[in-house]
Amino acid sequence: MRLAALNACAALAAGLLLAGAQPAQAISVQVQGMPAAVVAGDNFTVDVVVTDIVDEIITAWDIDVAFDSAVLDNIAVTWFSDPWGDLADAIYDADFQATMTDVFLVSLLSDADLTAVQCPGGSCAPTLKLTTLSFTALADGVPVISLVNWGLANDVKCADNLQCYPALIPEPGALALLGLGLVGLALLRRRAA
Amino acid sequence: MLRRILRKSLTGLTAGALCLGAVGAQAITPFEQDVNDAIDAGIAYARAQNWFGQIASGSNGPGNGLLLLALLEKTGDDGYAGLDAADQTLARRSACILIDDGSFGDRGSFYSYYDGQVMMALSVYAQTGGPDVPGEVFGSYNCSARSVRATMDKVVDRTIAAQSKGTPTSGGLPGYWGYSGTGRDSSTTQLTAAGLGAAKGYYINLGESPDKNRAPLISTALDLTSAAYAVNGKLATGTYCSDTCGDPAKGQACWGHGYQSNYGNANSSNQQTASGTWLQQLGTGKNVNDPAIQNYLRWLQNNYAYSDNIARDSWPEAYFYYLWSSSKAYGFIENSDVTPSAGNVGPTDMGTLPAKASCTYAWSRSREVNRNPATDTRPAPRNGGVAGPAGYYAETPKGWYYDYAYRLMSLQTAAGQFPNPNGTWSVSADHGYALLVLLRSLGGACLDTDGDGICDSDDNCPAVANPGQEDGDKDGVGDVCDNCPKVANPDQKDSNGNGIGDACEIARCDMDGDGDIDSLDIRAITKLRGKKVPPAPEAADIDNNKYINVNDARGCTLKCTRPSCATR
Repeated sequence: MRLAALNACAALAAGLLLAGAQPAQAISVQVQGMPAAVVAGDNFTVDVVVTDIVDEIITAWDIDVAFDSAVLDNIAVTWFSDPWGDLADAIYDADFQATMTDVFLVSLLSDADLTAVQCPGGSCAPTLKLTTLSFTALADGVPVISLVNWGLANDVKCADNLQCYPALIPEPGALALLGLGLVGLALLRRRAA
Repeated sequence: MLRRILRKSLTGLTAGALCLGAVGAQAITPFEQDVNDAIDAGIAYARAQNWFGQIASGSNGPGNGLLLLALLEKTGDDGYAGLDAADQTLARRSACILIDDGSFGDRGSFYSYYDGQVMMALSVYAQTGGPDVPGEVFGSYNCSARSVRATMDKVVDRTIAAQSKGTPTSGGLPGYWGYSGTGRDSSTTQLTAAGLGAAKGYYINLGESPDKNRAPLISTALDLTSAAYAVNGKLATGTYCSDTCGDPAKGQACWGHGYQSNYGNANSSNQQTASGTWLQQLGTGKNVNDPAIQNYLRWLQNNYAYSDNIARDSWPEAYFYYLWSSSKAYGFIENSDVTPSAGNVGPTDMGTLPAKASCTYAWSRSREVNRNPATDTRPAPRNGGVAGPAGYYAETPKGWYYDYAYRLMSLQTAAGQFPNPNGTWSVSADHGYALLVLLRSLGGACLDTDGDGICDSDDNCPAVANPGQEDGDKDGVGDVCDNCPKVANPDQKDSNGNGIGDACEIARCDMDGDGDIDSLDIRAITKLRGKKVPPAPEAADIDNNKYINVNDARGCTLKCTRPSCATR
């Protein structure tokens, strides 16, 4: 085991980078505003919202919104300019499918510019609305709307293009490296004492 | 031809121009300039002693071969071809001595110390353009009809014949040599095997002689030596520094080696352990991550020293040889392109452990840490005889080479000699060792880390077998390890560390091929979301995971040519 200061710090940094690719407190992505029941002909909207944001910016996202096509039809998607400065500085689109809508946005701003927009005065808002979906009820029933297919195809990006949702599961090697760095730092502190 | 290191060795105008071209006209640092000046002064001293034109001084053995090696390597990879006319004459005369003198090639039987030098120096001489028949006639020497190849064949054959054969065992003879035949003497084995390592390159690069193929025979001999050192490391206990010797449950330890294979732990030395490290590397398929090599490297790390050979057994005069043997051990690793695996140690770890006093057998010397170029003063010999300003070398990185070079420059006399502070075994050999350290010489040895039949020094991809040496963009880096194989990028720069060279990054995101990255390219990438590569083009796959998603779109956004990915 190498215990030199530089190596210990490098191992710690690498460990944090690999093991902690997500923010210190993991964000969450939720569907909000879903009615308990609908009657045929009802129109309603739901928001897709990022919550639990702590000192983090959202830079890009790709989400599949699934719904029961016997009860619901997704008729529109709304994007908002506020989180992205200007929608002209983003590329976004939606693909309406029978039982699912694929919706995404990629900001064209730098991380620094997005930080200025999303974290004015250095304080980031704890929640950020990604999009609003408008539905029409095709039949009476209980609406079911969920976010699906997370992983390679769908995720949320934060600063440095790191995936911040779903949370990355650290590989054992990364954890070991993190541990090595922490042990190194502990020993260095002990020597310094 | 000899090494791939782009060293800024500036000796003379012609060589300087050649080397500057090779490194892209980078500015030379004060440290590099002083090292080159020290080398020049050292070569000048050897010239003044006529050590290239007669048997060199040294009561226990002349260092003619080492000195010729230094003369050849002062021009970097150009060797003989890079020397000016006067030095080429000296090189031919020096080669002639190695061929025609009864102490060297013309002696009747094997003698390790001399034959090792002959093979090293003549191999480099011939591979860099030195004439096979030196043609020099001077003093008692006549090389008008003497051939390098004939001498090489004879010396290689008698060296292989003299090796102790059999299966290597702890304390045994197999794999080693003695002074004039079989034996278990590491002190002579190191020089002999170094010679064979260089001779292997000679036959690979210049072709085999008609009577037999010697390169395979040399490989067999070196594999035996490598195996012998792998079983003869002695566990460091008690009297040695052994703070970070790894996990014994995993076979990790600090292993030292003494002057004889049957010497115990108490007789391990820095010099023989360092030689044992690179002697193992000479074996087929061995690299820095081999467990036994790691155990030797841990010993060297735990007993790191540059001011002395702190564990010096019975031969303190071996100090300069220790510097060269460890320099070779680290240089071989650095040239192999194989990096230490996680938890393993390598050259950059030398000198990084805390200093530790009185933990070495018998001499109570301290483990040393790397010098600090930011606070070091310029050595007096390089500053007109008085110590120069502190921080003169501040831009030089810490590390073993800086430590070694600083120490040697500090010891050099005004006349250019490198005197051994521990007393000399051979004044000319000591001088040669010091020069070879400064030159980062590997003694012309042919290491073939990936086993593809191409020496690492000539291999365009030393760590991955590619016997065909395919290099589509002709940038000197083989296609199998080129991070941008279709665009010439000899520096292999990869700023974001994603495995794709910077030269290819633009091409990666530039979907419309117009030479920049803008919102049109990002939009094109988003239209490929969810598609595999291929059929989606590689240009869209910046993370190289063969799948296009918003990670690629955002990743390319961060590489846009203009703010907000604006179009022109």
